[in-house]
Amino acid sequence: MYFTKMTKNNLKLMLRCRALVLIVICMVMVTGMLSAVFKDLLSDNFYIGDFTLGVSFGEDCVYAPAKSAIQAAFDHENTVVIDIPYGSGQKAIESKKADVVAEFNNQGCTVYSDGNHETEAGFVSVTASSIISKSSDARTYNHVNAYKIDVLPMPGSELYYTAAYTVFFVWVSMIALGAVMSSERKNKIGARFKTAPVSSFNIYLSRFIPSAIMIAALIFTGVAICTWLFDIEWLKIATTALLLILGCIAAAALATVLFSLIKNVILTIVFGYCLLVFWAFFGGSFCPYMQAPWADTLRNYSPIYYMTRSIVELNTSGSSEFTVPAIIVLCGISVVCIPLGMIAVKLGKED
Amino acid sequence: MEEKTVLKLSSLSKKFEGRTAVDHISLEIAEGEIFGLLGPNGAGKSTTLNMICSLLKPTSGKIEVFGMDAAKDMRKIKLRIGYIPQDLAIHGNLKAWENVELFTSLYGIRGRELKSAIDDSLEFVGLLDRRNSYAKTFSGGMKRRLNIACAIGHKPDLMIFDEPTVGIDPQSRNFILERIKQANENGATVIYTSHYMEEVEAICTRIAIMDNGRIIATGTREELVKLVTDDDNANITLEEVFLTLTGKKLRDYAGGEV
Repeated sequence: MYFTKMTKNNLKLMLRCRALVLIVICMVMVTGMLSAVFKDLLSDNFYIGDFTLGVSFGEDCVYAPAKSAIQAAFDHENTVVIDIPYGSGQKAIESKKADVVAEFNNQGCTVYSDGNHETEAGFVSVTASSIISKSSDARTYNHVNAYKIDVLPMPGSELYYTAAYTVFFVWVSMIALGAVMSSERKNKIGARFKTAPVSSFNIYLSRFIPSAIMIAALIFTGVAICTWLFDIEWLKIATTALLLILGCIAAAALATVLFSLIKNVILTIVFGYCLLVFWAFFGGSFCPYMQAPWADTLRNYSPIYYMTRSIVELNTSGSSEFTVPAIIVLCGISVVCIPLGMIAVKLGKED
Repeated sequence: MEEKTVLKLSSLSKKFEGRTAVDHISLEIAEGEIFGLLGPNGAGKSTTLNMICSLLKPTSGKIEVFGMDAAKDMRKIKLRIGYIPQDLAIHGNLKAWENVELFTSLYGIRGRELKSAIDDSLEFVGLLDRRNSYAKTFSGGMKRRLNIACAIGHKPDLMIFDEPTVGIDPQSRNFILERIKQANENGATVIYTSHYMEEVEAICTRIAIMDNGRIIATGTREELVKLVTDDDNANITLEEVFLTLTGKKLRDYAGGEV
């Protein structure tokens, strides 16, 4: 167990790097700033008021099986869903029988609304697009007449940005290992490791463990401050904490690979930053994922997307279908990066 | 009493991309010696030491340390070697005792033994009263001494000093030389490289002069002097012997591991 003293001293090196405190400060400042600036955007644009939705389907419409899914999607206290005859959408709006109408035919969907229900009409359009997209998939795959509509719970701006930037800074905190690696490289500590009977596995652990501890310390400090400052109520605190801990472990595993594989510390930081920007861009850090028009295929490559969406939904509606994928993605990153990191450290030691 | 061989190099070579840094050198160092390794820049001194310490793999040849084959028993050998690198290998953001603790723990020493080793090492290099100071606040000489303390905590039987007095004041240099002699008196065998001839002259019991990757002369100071003059009364310094054997031509070595 040679790594215990190495771990302890590497942790000290990180704790004594005062610049790392900036991570917590930036996290709180960015969250506070963005949640204040976009408070109206998130509340106004996504507030669904009371409305009546008229739904109709053309003759032999392939989307007709989605009727029950549509009703389920709008099934909350503000919405009444009614059937109207196909082709009478405009008339239903003018006669105030419905506030928004969605008319489906085999070419797609037409949405009608009066001037007072544009937000609701937008929401119906998004839902209709989802139905049409899923119907295309269903038609490709043997006419499966089951529909599941992707309904996005709407969080408050404080919760959204605290979750989004907590996740973002989990990955930013990978830089903590730089405090150890730059000192090791600058002071040529590698010579000591090579001349001592210490295994590359112990060296790996002495980098990975303090890195994970340090990232977790920074992130949970930031979350605690944000929770206190912005009065955030976490509905699922245990699952949220689990996701963050897994995120810290995955970030530490990735950091150890990058810092061990790339010999130049500055180059490692630049590479890590580029990767992070890509993940954050598609993951909902810079633009809320509810509004972002990015393709699903690109989102799927971003662990930030899974983490952010899961944490936001868990603490907005109490559950999220993204929790399990997020756990799988984070465990997957760790499972891949831990052995890769060990190999990288071994190669570095033998170099 | 029979002399035990601590280090034996047999036809040891190291090539870097076609350039021969160490060329089939053979050498034996006995227990209790302070063995000086001299040579101009690029002669192959550091490469030789790096191979002994397993920092580099030899291209050919054999290294035996304490009768063990370095290719097979390196882990056991490492436990008995203390390598003091030419470059300062200490963390500036750790305190003196933390640096010693970190590097001594690499040898499996822990608990009370580790605490005692930290204090002993710091006392040996005269830094016990500064044990709680950060290494980055130390002067050049103090850093050099801490660099030594980090390599001797596990009480090695063979100490390898690679130019340990570069860039420090005469007082610190004198202190380090005295401590090396004391370590030798305490039972450690020492291999010492330096460009300062007077240091080697002052502490080494036997000296090897390297040039162009080969050992061109080995012996005591007196034996080396005899290689350049037959006059027993000649007042010749080791530097003059060195320059006679290696020549006065400048050695502009352009980097790399030699």
